[in-house]
Amino acid sequence: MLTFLLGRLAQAVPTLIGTSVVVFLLVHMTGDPALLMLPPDAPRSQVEAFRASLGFDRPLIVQYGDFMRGIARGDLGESFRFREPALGLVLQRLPATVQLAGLAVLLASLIGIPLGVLSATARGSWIDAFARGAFFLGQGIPPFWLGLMLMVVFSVQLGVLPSSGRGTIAQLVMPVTTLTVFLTASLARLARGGMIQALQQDYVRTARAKGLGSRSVLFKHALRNTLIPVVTMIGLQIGHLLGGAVVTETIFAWPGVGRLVVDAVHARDFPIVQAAMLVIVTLFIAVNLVVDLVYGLLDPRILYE
Amino acid sequence: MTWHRDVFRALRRDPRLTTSAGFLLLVLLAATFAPVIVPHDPNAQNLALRMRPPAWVEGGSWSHPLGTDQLGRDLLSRVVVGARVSLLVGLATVAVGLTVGATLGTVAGYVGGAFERLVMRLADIQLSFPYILLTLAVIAVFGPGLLTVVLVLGLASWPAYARMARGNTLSVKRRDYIAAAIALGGSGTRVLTRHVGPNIANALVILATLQVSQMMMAEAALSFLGAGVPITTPTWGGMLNEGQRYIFTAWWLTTFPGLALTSVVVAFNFLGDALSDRLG
Repeated sequence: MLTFLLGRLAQAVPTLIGTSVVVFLLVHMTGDPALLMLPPDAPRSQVEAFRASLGFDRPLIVQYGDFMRGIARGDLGESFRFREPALGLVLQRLPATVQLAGLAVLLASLIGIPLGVLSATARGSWIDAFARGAFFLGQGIPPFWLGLMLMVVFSVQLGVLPSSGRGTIAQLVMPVTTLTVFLTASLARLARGGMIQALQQDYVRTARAKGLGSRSVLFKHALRNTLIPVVTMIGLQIGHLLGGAVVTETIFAWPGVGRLVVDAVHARDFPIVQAAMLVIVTLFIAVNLVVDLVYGLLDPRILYE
Repeated sequence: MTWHRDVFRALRRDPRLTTSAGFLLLVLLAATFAPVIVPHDPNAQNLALRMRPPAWVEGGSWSHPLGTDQLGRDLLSRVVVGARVSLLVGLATVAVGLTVGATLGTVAGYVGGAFERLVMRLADIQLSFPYILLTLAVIAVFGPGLLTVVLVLGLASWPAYARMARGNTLSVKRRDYIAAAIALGGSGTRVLTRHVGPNIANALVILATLQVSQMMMAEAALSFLGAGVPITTPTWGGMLNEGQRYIFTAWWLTTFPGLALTSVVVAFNFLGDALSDRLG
C-alpha cells in the first residue's frame, strides 16, 4: 500500500515540474514580458527600467530558478492590479470554486451512476430508451447555454431564483445545475455501458447459477467492476469541471477562481493567471491521487501490480 | 477493405447516420453559402428597429423572423453566419489535433521504448491541464484571433488521439499481416502508413467526430468569455456573450444562437455514436 502510494506520488512530480515550466514560459513566450505588461505606448526608457526592476533582463534559466524558489516559498509574485500576493488572492477564491465543483461531482455521482445502472438493467425497455435520450441531450447542451436558459426561465420569467452572487442556498441552485448536467450524463452513459458489459461476464452467470438474489449479483458483483472506469472518469473530469467552473462563475457572478482568472486575463494580470493555473493543476493531481486510492479499495489487485 | 468504404456503407444503412449526416450537410451548405442566402447583412445596424422580438411574438415582423439585437441587426442572419466560425473551428481544430496526436501515438506504439514513454508522459501531463484555462492563458499572451483559437484548441486536444492511436497500434502490431509486411521488406514508414494506419483509422474517425462537438463547445465558451474570435465576426459564443447583458429584456438573443449550437453538437454526437455502433 505504501509503495503504491509513493510510486504514485513520484509520478506526480514530473507533472508538477512540467506545469511549472509551462506556466513560466507562457509569460515569456512572446519574448519580452515587459512589453506584455506595459501599455503599448510606454516610452523605451520606462520599458528598460521596468524590465530591470522585475529582473527580466537576466538569462531565462536564472529567472526560472527564481520562479521555482518563489514557488517553494509559496511566493508567486504580486498581482499587478491589486498589489497583493497572487497566491493569496487565488486561495481566497478557492473555497467558492471547490464548493461548486464538489457539489457538482457529488450530485453527478449520486444521480448519474444509479440512472446508468437502472438503464442498463432495463435495457431495451422504454425506460432505457428515455434515459438514453436524456443522457444524450445532457451531453449535447453546452453547459454555459444551459446556464443562460435556466436564468431566462427561473430568474427572468418566473422570478424564483436569484441570477447572481453567492451566499444563500437559492444562489447555489443554478450554478450547480449548470455544472452538473454534463457530468451526470457522462457518468450515466459510462455506468450503463460498463454495467451492460459486466452483466454478460462469466462471474455474473456463476453468481446467478449459485442462486444469489438478483440484487446481490447486481450490487456485489457487477456494480463493483463497473465502478472502476466510472471513478477514473470522475477523476479525469475534475479538470474539465474546473474549466467549466470558469464559464459558470462568469455567468452567475460567482466569486471563485474562474472569474478571477477571466478578469485577470482581460486585465493581463499574469501573476494571477500563473498562480491560478498552478493551484488548479495541483488540486487536479491531488484529486487523482485520491482516485488511485479509491481504485485500491474497489479492486485490491491493482495495489500489487 | 478500406476504411472509407466502411464509413460510406455505414452511412447508407443506418437511419440515425443518414439523419445526422444529412442535417450536418445542410448546416454546412448554409454556412458555406451564408453570405448569399441570409436575408440581411449580419452586421448592418438599424437603430430604428432595435430589440424587435421574433416574428411570432407580439411586436415582431417576418422581415426579421428571429428578431433583432441591441443594434438592430437581424438575428437570423447572424445565427446563420455564426455557423461558419463554429464549423470552421470545429473541423480545423480536430484536423490539427488528429494529425499531431495520431502521428505521435501511432509512431510511439510502433517503435516503443524511450520515445513511447516520452510521448505518453507528455500526454499525461497535458491531460492534467484544464484546457479552457490553458487556452485562456495562451490567448491572454497572444491576443484573441481565429488562428490562435484553432491552433491552441487543436494542440490542446492531441493527447486523446495519441492515447487511442497508441493503444490500437499496440494491438495491431502483433497481427500476422504486420509481421508479413515487415518480412516482405516493407520500410517502417510503409508499414505504418499502408498497414497500421488503415487498421486503426475507424476508431480515430469515431473519436474525431465526437471531438468536433467538444471543440465547437470550447470555441463557443471562449468566445463567450471574450477570449475567442474577435467580436467583429458573428459567432454563436460571442452572440451569447452580448445577449447575456439583455437577458432580462430580450430572451431571443441568448436562446437562438445557443439552440443552433446545441443542435449541431447533438448532431455530431449522434453521428459519432452511430458510427461507433457500426464500425467500433
